[in-house]
Amino acid sequence: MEIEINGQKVLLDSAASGRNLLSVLRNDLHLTGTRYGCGIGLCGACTVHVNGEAKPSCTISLGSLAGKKIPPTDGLARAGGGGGLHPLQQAFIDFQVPQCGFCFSGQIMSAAAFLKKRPRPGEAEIRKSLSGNLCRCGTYPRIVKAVLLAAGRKQ
Amino acid sequence: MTAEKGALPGLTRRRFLVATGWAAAGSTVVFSSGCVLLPTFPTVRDDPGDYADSWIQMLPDNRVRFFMGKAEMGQGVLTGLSQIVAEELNVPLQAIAVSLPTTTQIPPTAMTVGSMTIERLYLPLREASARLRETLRKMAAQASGVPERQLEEVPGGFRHGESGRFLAYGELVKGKPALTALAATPALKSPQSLRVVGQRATRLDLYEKVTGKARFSHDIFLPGMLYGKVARPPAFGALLESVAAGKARRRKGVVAVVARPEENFVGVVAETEDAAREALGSIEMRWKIPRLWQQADIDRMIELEKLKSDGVSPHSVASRGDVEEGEQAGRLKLDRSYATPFGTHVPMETHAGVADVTGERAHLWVSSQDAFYQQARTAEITGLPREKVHVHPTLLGGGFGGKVGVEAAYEAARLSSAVKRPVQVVWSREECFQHGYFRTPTNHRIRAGVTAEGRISFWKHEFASGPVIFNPAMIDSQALKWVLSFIPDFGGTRGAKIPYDIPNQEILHWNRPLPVPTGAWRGLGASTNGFAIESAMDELAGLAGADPLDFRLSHLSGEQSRLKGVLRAVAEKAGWGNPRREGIGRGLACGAYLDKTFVAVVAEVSLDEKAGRIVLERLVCAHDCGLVINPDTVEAQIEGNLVWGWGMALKENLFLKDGRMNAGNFHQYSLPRCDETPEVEIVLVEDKDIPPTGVGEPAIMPTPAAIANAVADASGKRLTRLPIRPENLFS
Repeated sequence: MEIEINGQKVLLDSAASGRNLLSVLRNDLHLTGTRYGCGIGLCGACTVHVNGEAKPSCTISLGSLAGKKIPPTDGLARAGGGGGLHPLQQAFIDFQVPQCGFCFSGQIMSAAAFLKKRPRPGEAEIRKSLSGNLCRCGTYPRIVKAVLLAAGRKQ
Repeated sequence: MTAEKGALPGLTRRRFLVATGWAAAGSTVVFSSGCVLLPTFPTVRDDPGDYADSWIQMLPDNRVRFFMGKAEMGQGVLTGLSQIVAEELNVPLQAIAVSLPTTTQIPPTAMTVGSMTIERLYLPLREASARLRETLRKMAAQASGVPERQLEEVPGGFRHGESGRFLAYGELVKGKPALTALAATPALKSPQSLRVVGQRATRLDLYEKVTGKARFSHDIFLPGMLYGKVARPPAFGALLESVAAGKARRRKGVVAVVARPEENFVGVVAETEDAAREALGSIEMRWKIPRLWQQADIDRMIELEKLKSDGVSPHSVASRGDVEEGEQAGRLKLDRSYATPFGTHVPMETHAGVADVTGERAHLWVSSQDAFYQQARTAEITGLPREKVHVHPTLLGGGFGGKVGVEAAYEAARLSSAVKRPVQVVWSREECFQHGYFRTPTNHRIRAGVTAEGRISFWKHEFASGPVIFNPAMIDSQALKWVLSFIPDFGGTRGAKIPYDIPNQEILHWNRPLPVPTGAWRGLGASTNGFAIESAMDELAGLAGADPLDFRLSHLSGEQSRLKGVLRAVAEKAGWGNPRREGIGRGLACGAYLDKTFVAVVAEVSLDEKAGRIVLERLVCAHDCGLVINPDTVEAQIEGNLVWGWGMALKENLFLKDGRMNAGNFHQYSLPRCDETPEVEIVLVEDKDIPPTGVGEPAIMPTPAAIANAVADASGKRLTRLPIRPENLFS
């Protein structure tokens, strides 16, 4: 079975098909930008894009991913072009959003998938779309501002 | 070592100067502290005046190496302390090469708790930086043959006024890091001329954090590293009776099963995390549960009337005047009980550690609020001398008081010690919810009276809780526990003293051992005491028929000018004097955290009875922590505290059920989320002549009460038990 992760083809044997994507990203590939937070898809820390959709990688089995492309968080900067930061990453720096920073790969991945679908969202939509991503430091007021800013810049 | 010493003429001062810079230059000088007679205890010894010099070195490339020896858990000290170092050295913040030092690179420093880092280090670090600058001036004078006093301070070095020649710090250093060699501290800049301090500087760790490159304890992968999982008791107080691990040892991928029933410890080491988890699950364990504790048992242990009738004596927090006399003078009286439940920290990064232990030495990677405590305990566990244990701190993915001693790292050390290979232990979210230590539940009774003139005539606050500072999870000595029973738990009593001018008052605290480990949680007792005290103040204002703002102001003496200042500032920002908006309830509360940081909060809520919702619309906060090092970071900490206060007031609820906590993961523990986030507005009240005080906790102190007061204002119902849930309001 072959999956493309972070631009690289990864061959997996069938025994691995029951394993979850998060564990493979972290423990096997050491792509540590994707974080473990709860293991049951309730905190958003492990969010990745699967065919453009934001999904919690801790609940995705490898078997369901054959032939699909997974760009983890580390891929977002490159997607911004020229190795620079993605507009969302830049906006999160501009508003100095992260505190401990642990949840932020997930926050940015969720916001990026959302902005692809809704390039000019209202504030209420942003809040709702990110309600699956917990931030214990309490940076929500800044997250909303940063996503609004990034959406504005992309237009 | 001696070669480098030669680079600094006149290096005589401070014993570990010799040690530090040189540790960085490749030698292995080690610091040890502590007395063997005392049990291992979190690191409280702190003498920054003595060690601050050892954190700072000038490098040949014009950068300043800065060993930031405190835990960076999101509170921003990595950047704030770097700003302080940059100030007296006249370098931009970008010139600070800041790193998290190992326990071998710096002398022991106290745990990172209590919002004390900036407050404690502000002056010592400025002084140390100034001493290093003056050392460099001496070196510049020697190198150029120009008298010191003719060398002007300019960004990045000195300039000779006459010739206009510029001497960059880096060219003075020539290949070896320079340390301070001065005992005397030169005059510091005036607060008004500060350049880097006070700037809204961009935090130094943000790039790593938005690109996923930041390294937390979960992200350490060493060559040949194995994975460990440890068995958990099925209930608090359960004792392991027997273990049958034979089959697990033969499973694929399993390297070792470490079973020590006498220590309640069973751990598995395997090639993969899955193999370790599955093998642990296959081990048959018999646990004896002496008693299946329920929440009602805990409630009884801290029930005030029962404690009194049982003759348990409290610690006196404050006593003034004559409460009985004051009681007679009171025309209208309040007698109210308040309660708060267990709480848990829920850092997004679960507790974790990686240990690499051989017979000769140990390395430990851990995200801890106390690297030196981790070092000392690991030395005990492995039997190695302290100086052979090297702790490598990582960034913390949240701490909040919950990571003073990270148990997962000790488990990794035990397992690594058994297999002599590196082992990673990452706690699952379920383990984090059920183990470690918790915020203690509290019970309060406040009795007070108001005279016909609207003055509070007496105040009697009795409250009971489990331990906070003298956390039994950390003190394993029975003797010490006995000694501590005579000392008030200053964690539980934090925030219990009132700033108000009340002639007759008595404040009593019962600190009771609980069968569940309890300890520090953001703000310690200030969060729970603040809720009870400021709820009562609101009710007293109601009894007096006074406006809650005027009532508080009129009970604050001239000595409380800073608390009055934030009350007035928050009132102005929130439009307190204007009529309420339709359908909005408003609440006010304030607090003086450790009598040093002053906070006032206004909350606005609306009630949606049909949908069964309490909607937190807006939080406004005024905050005075003296000189502000980085306004953006201060605001960020306040925002975090407001969100925590919101969680405490309306969401978080943890209780015991059949010997375990009711929550195992996020579906069972309600937390603030993005969709319900209120509008947040902050005013910083600042007097630059007042040295900085803490910001990591103060704003949690008044927030739950401000919200409770707003709910009471909106509904006419006073709820006195946290969390305030719609089902209790709309019943």
